[in-house]
Amino acid sequence: MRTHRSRGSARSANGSTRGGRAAVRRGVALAVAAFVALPALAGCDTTAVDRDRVNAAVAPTFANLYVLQQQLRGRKVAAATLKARADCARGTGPNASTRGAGDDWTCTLSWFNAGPAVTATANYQLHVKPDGCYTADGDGPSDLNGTPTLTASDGATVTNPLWRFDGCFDIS
Amino acid sequence: MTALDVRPATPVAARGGTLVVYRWETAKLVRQVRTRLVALACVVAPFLFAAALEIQTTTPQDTLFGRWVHDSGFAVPLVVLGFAGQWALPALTSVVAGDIFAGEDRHGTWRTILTRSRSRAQVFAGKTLAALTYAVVVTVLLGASSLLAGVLVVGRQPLVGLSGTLIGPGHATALVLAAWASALPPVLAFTGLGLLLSVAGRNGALGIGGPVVIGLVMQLAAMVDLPVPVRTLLLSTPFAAWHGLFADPPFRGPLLWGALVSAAYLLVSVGGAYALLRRRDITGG
Repeated sequence: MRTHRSRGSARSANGSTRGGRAAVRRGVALAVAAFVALPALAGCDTTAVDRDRVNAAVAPTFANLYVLQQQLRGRKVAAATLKARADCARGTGPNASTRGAGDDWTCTLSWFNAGPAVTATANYQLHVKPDGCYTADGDGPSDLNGTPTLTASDGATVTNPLWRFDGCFDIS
Repeated sequence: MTALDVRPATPVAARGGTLVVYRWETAKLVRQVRTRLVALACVVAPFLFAAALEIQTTTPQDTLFGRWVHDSGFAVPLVVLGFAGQWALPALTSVVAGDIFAGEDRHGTWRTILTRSRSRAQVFAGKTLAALTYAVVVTVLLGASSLLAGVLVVGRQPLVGLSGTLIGPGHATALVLAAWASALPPVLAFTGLGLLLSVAGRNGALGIGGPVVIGLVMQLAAMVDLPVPVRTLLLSTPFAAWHGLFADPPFRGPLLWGALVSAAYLLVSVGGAYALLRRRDITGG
């Protein structure tokens, strides 16, 4: 009796099961359509990741972290006086581009180190994800971003904020 | 009620019937070993995670804020949130939502409960509210526990935000709580998917596993550089909406869109689940 009343008999010959199967079929069709459509859409140049957004996100983030790093080393600077600029691009040679997510972005940061006359630069390799978050990996000079930790002015070993850093920008 | 299924509800049943079902369902959930284990895991797991991070020098670098877990306790709840949004929260909420209707199929008890003095709509509303309450409780427990674990194990140091600015302890606490609150809409949307699959599939395994698989497929799709409107419609996107809170200046557009998209998923799946349940013929089982 108990097995008889369970699903087996309930499923046979009633409208809701047919409705359920139709819903499942619709769902599968939709999923297949999505899988066909997504790569096609991705092929179009509709990315929200472009050079202007990357530049605008990386430069102030670097400046703020530079201030933090100098503070740890016992030197006081203000982010605004650095006037940091980022020049980012994607790939090299004939494949160079200024758009799209990828781990082949590179950035050159430049800022005024000691007064408006002295310009300093640093390099970063960027992995920019499609959701607008990126990871910047320091690529020289090594005393700035070459080591994961640094020795603070009080002698403690602390995380080097400029070794690698994360950030996000608005893609909407 | 359809024309086929007119059951004159007595005034007593109409009044507070949903509340009675809700109380009964929550009482059942509180006594289940499964839900108790999930609640316990939500409270204990963040402390184990924070302790495990403390005793080793490496950091989870591939996650946002992962580099800062030794420097600020506020990084811990954000790393947990980053992991949880990928599959843990959809899975935790589906454990209940995916089984709350299918359980009646498994035990063959639909005829028993629907011939009592509660209408089908009241049973549906009560069970749905119970599953949504459970989803909120689990998210709050996990969020509060990870914040506590970070603050108690690592400390209340200022946090480096996503634009390199230092965020003080008070502000960081508020932002962490806001970030966890922003996970509630997509968690409730996944609860809705679990309820829909629970009704449609009549199978607890489908109801519990289905939302997790849907979440993972959407994660895969989000790895492609999709157009922003398509990306906005994915249910994995709202789980990342909190990133904007930690930028300087903060951007909150993704939070609004995440809430709207999640609400749409929730309404459509709960509406679909109700339509299916309303039309179901239970006389055979």
